[in-house]
Amino acid sequence: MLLKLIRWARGYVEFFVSGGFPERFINLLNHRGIIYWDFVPSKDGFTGTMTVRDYRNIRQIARKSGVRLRVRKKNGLLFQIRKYKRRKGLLAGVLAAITLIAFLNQFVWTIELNGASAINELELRAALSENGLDIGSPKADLNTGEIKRGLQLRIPGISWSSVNLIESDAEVELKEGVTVKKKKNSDKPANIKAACDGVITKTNVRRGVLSVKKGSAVTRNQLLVSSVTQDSDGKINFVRSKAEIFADVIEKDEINIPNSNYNIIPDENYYEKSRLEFLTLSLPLRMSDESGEGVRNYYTYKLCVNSRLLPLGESIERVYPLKAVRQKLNPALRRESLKNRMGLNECFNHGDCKIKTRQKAFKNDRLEVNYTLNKNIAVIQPIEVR
Amino acid sequence: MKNRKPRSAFPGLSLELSGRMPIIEFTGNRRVLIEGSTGVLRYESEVVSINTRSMTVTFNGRGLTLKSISPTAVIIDGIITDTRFES
Repeated sequence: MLLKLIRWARGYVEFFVSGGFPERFINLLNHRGIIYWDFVPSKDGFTGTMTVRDYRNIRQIARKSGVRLRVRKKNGLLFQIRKYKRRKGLLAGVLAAITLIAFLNQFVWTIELNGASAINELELRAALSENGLDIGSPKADLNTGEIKRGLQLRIPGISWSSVNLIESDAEVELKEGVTVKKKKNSDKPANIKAACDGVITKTNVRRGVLSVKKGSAVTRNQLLVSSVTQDSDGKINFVRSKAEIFADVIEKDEINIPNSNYNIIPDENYYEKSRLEFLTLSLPLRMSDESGEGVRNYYTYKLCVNSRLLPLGESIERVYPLKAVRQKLNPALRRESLKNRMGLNECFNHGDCKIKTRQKAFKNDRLEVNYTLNKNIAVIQPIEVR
Repeated sequence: MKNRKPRSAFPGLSLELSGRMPIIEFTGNRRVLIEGSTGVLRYESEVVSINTRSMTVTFNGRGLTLKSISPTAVIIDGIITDTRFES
């Protein structure tokens, strides 16, 4: 195959040999070291093939051996070019294609990120873009060392990185570092006080001296666990108290919903704007006269060849305009809404508590709820020891 | 170093004789390789004669073609029916 390609590139002719002494012709060709092939006998002579350059130099051999040479067929690149010489558009197209490929080869087409699992890909791409590496960036302007350093400074979670430019692809290899959490200063002495009023139900002291008993009532900011301890020798030590103190607490919530409200919802009739994206270029394809606020959805479709995304595609912005819908609540709906709001309130505000009792009272537009909650009321309060 | 006498590649043949003899290798009756050729004497589709230093080798057959030729070797393709050695 390769041999055929080389022969085609150099150009070859099929010729016909007649008369004289063809055997002598063969021997002279061998003697001169001229390469030929497919030299086969035919009806009135022989046919053979050789390169154009060699064919030009065998006239003397033909004369010596008394044979007549006649070209039967011309093959190869040279003759193909000559054939299409008049079709200048074709030549211009080939030249334009070569120029375009050479021009596009000077830019980064794809960025591949390897080794990032904990770090967000979007954050990485943004950091690379800040350091000059983006789709469409000219390769000549890129300094891989600087990009590498910039990336590691921008994202501290990266312990090692490498940027490789292979043709039009940029491969970014990363290794994530292990972040060591700073230990909180837990040696500082601290008391535990009550966050609110309540009745102690359960205590769980891990460090410190308990100052209250189960069943006793406490007020807000009352000392629950003391940091002052005394060892067997009578020496006084200050420790950082650690405890969970559970108490029954009474809390009151008020939930209010107006009679009518405006709901702003996106309209079903959307409009679209689209743009053609190529490298860093963005050209409008479809525009819309409409403008204003709305819910915007963005879609990007990119050309994919051999499972590789190319920097050519269409980005669509779909806008759902917002509309205000007035909703008037009837008493039943209002009650239901208040109950729902109460459920949400309990979920978000009292999620870590156990609700012992709940007393609901509907008053005009609002709902009043009295809770008896069992929750941890311990609050750490550091103390200064000199 | 010992002055070794050059030995013939073919046991039983003297060096002088084996150096002048062509080496002919047949692949069935479809292909023949002649090493030590000095030229082509006759080339037709039924007859091919190859000159060597000590003899002329003639191959008869059908559809004979010179597949490859170099100054010292020839490969002939085709159906070989008869081989004749003339010296």
